[in-house]
Amino acid sequence: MTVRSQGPQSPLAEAWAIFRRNRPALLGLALLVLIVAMTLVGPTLYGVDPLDIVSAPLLPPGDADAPLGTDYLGRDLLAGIISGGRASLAVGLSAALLTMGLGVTVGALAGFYGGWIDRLLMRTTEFFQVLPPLILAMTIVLLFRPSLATVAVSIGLVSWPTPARLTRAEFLRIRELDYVRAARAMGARNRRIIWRLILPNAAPPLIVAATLTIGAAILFEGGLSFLGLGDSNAVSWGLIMGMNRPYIFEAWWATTFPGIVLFATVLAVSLIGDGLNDALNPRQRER
Amino acid sequence: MTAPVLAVEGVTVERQARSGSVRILRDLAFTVQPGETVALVGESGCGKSMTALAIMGLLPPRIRVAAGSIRLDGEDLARADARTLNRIRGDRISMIFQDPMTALNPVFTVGEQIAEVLRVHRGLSPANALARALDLLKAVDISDPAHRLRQYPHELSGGMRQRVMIAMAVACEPRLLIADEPTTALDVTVQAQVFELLRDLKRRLGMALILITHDMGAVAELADRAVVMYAGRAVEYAPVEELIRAPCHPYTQGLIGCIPDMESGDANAELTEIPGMVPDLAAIGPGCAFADRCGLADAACRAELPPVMERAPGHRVACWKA
Repeated sequence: MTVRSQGPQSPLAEAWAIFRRNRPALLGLALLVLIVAMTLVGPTLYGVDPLDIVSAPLLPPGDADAPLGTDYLGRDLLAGIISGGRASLAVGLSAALLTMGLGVTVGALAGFYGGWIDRLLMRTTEFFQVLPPLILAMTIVLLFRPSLATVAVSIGLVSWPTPARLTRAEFLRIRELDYVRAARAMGARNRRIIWRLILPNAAPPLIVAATLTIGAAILFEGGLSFLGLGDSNAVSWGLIMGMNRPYIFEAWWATTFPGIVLFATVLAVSLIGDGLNDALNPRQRER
Repeated sequence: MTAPVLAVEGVTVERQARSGSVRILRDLAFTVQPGETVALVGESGCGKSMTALAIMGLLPPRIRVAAGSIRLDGEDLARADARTLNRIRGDRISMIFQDPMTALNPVFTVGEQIAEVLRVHRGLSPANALARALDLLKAVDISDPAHRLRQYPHELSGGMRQRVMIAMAVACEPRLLIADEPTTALDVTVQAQVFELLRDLKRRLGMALILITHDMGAVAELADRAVVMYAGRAVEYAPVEELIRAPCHPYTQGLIGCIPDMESGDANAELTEIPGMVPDLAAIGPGCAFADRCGLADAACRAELPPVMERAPGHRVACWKA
């Protein structure tokens, strides 16, 4: 018999109840909220222009003018980290959205329709998978003018095969299940089956993948900026690290601090992803 | 005689394979009159479920209707396009499946799922559809229907889920409901309740029912007529009363011999069983498919397929020995 709970429990409420019990995931969530808050309100609270030369170059941390020291041009490192977060997070988020959008669409069509559509889309996916992602992304950025938008697009274009494969696998599995068959027997059309039946049921692993993709995209953006292929007018964590790389022995702080923040962000996102994985995994759910 | 709701005529269903095609259903013919219950009976693999899927136009890939017609109120479903079938399914004809535990979408509430059928076929507004869903839950005798409406499938028991499936299936008051072993996955007590519900709904809505089952007890209880299927063929076709009193085909006699007789009170009476197994459809010879398991079979049975012969009005058999 089913035990009567206090009112119906939606799958989301249930997932949150499990997520809440996961300490590392909550820590990750807190960390991410902190970092996002810092990039959103930080520039107003700490009103130093990250591109202004405020002091002598390569000043160590603890200076009255620059709490975290200055870079090789004498710019305030703290200001750079605070505003750099905006670019890093924005690129990470939009690249992840693009990755998931492309990947889920391709995977859903391939998995649902099968046949020649599947073969065509999967061969295309494999074509993208055999190219080294960093080289491909660099090429795409160099073909256009490097900007935050082109960086995000290039990351999206090289990352979509993974979610595409995941989505396809979920669609292949779910489209054979009884409730899809039953829905067909009730007269549901393909579009409705894709959107109302298969996609919501495929969502848990895709949400986890999306979270992890944000982390990967932030790292990817850092890598591209570090190599000097980012938008040189928009301060980002990768850009600061890349610019200060030649001075790493004279001024460790100029590369280390942005690195730590970047690391903390990706860690936070990964912890949240792990927590979501547990919370959304149907096997973890008690009936 | 009134026009039948469903007329299946000469239906042959084939599975395409590299080695050639295998006939899953052979020259199947039966009719369902308005308000009537017809049972499709047979062992697993005899083609009962394939018949249902063929009627619904839901045959799996590479399996198709190669010959014959399936007419729902005169309209041939075997030749209908996908658009037409989508319009008909869930509206004029619906189907409930064997396992209610897996036949509902786990991420939406029961109410949303019932309402969806009404929104698709009747174009009701979300609020009206939900109100109607509540009526339907009441109609299928679910306890505390207003509460159930907001529950998710995993919060309901198997019997309740099957009631929800039935509510969805009859939402648009179909002409014909196909029930594919609707109680196989349920407890015996729940089974009786579901039968009672089906009988009740049938009477209230005046719909016809095709009951797919391997349980002769269920046939006796619910059906007006029965089609006994073996290896993709209808081997006997008769009013249920007559079928049970005087089965003609040795296979039907075997099936009926498998039911324990409760009324005689003789607990020690031996149950007969049918020896052997359902044959591989790809390896059926020219003769009667049942010959290898039949006590009466001789060389003639193996050499030539017995035609369907009318034994009595409405009672047809395909057997040389009957």
